[in-house]
Amino acid sequence: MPSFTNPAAVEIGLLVLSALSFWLLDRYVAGCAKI
Amino acid sequence: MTVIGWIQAAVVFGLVCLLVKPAGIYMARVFEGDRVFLTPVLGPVERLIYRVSRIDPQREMGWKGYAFAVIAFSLVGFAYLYALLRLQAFLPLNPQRFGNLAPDLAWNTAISFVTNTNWQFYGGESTMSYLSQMAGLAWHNFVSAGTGIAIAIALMRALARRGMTTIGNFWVDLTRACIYVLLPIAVAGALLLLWQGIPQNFDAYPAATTFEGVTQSIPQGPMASQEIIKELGTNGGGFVNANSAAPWENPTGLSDLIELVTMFMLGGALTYTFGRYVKDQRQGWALFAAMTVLFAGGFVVAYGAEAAGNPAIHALGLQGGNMEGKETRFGIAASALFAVMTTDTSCGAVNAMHDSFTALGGLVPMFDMQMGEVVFGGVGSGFYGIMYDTVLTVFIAGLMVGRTPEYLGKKIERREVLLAILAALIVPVLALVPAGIASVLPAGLATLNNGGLHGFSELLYAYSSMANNNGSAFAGLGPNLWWNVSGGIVMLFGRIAIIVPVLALAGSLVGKQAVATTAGTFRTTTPIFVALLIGVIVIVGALTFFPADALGPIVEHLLSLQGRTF
Repeated sequence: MPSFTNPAAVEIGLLVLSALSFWLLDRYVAGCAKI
Repeated sequence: MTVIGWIQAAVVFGLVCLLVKPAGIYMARVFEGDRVFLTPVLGPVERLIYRVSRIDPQREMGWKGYAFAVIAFSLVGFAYLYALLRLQAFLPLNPQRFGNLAPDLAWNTAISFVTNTNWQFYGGESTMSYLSQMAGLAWHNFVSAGTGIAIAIALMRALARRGMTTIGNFWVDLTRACIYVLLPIAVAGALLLLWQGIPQNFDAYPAATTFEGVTQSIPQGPMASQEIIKELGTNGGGFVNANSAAPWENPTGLSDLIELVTMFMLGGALTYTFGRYVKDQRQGWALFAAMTVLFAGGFVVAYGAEAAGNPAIHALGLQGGNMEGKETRFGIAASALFAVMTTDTSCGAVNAMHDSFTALGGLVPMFDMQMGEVVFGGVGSGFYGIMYDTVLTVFIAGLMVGRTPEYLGKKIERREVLLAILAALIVPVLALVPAGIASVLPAGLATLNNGGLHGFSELLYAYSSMANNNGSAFAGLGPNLWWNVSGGIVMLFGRIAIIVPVLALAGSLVGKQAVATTAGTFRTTTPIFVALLIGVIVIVGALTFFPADALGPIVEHLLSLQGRTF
């Protein structure tokens, strides 16, 4: 299991988090449109 | 407090007032595509950008298209800056041979600059190559500020138009904000700062021998060009870690004056631009008046607290104000003024260390941010911030008199109020929830610079700053994986999660027809409206943040009166 301080694991984790964050913001636009 | 101190504040604000009208008119003309004095020079540049980017300037967007464009632009900007920071060791203009940033620090920094926050978990002079400073950080100083201005203009259009579905073209607004507004002022301002002694070069750091015989490396680089946009774009990220407290970034009283005026200049001028858009200048002045009262109140409290000093120091027989963490060449008044103005706006630059302010003096900048930075505010973000407070104000006024609320002749209904409430609540959630988690998490407490109540104030200030895209800090908070990641998430959502409901609000308002003004219409140009708006801004901020503030700076202040320090 990769360490939480392993730079490669951190980098991959952050890229996944970035993709998830921008996807959530995209969904947020759709959510605001329904208000 | 001294007469000179009051005069300093009066001169700064007087200059801001003088610039509001010409800059406001200029921006109104620029964004409506009218000819301005720079059109012969910049018009071909603008058209070239559209041609190369395949932008049709005549094609307008609905609010969702505008929002998707903002998010897409942020995503691309983030990816670009992250890659630049991760690869800077292999790229040119790196005379100090700095290495690549660690992934979590690069991630935090990329989000920080994309969102106009400029929170700095790095020391610029010991981390960033000149290429990263210029092509990465300074580039985002321009475009993130341009994005804020674009959104403010889209909202103004929505309020001015009747029965339409489009609010403008994001790419056109962004281009015009950057090349007609930010760039010319930045060039002129950078030359002024250069004249005042701020360096502008690509040389390696020279080594100097101090009086003690120690060798010291003197940071320099392309500073003046970055310094001016740092304040003009209310970005705040310093070329060096000490920011505008460092002599290279802020060498003289005149450079301090220039930096202060440019912080408020565009935020103030946008209220005038707004008046032009809605063809009623009194509407803009009403917002300007509310901002002025809040600014003056904050300055009086902060200056008073810092001038009164620390009772624990007085008990030692040392009288006078609180000079800890302040540059002697600026003194108490100019330091308090800078602290208030940098947090009224979303700037975050500092010329003194807020961590060393008295508890009450430090509470003022913290509360400025917690009110949503609507006192002139970030360029653009201050205007759209005070606009959702305005919607809430007319809603409350409508409840008081039993009428459907209206603003500028448009009925404010359920959808608009819900969107305004969403925008108003998202930042407190983003600041308080992570602050609560961090205050019990070992990783959250591990890198604090202070203990006890002041440690909690430091932590709360950090999340208040990041959620509001300010970027200033109680100096000393160090980075670790928790802070880099949680801070990045808070900054990203603190920016875009407000922009989206604001644009949705614009989309809702642009389609409405005006209703006739009657004797029962609540007028939004009167002192009563201004007072109510101020009340809403302060009370919303106080209600949401007061319990947390009470645990930190408020108790700290009360105990400091008994001589206890933390």
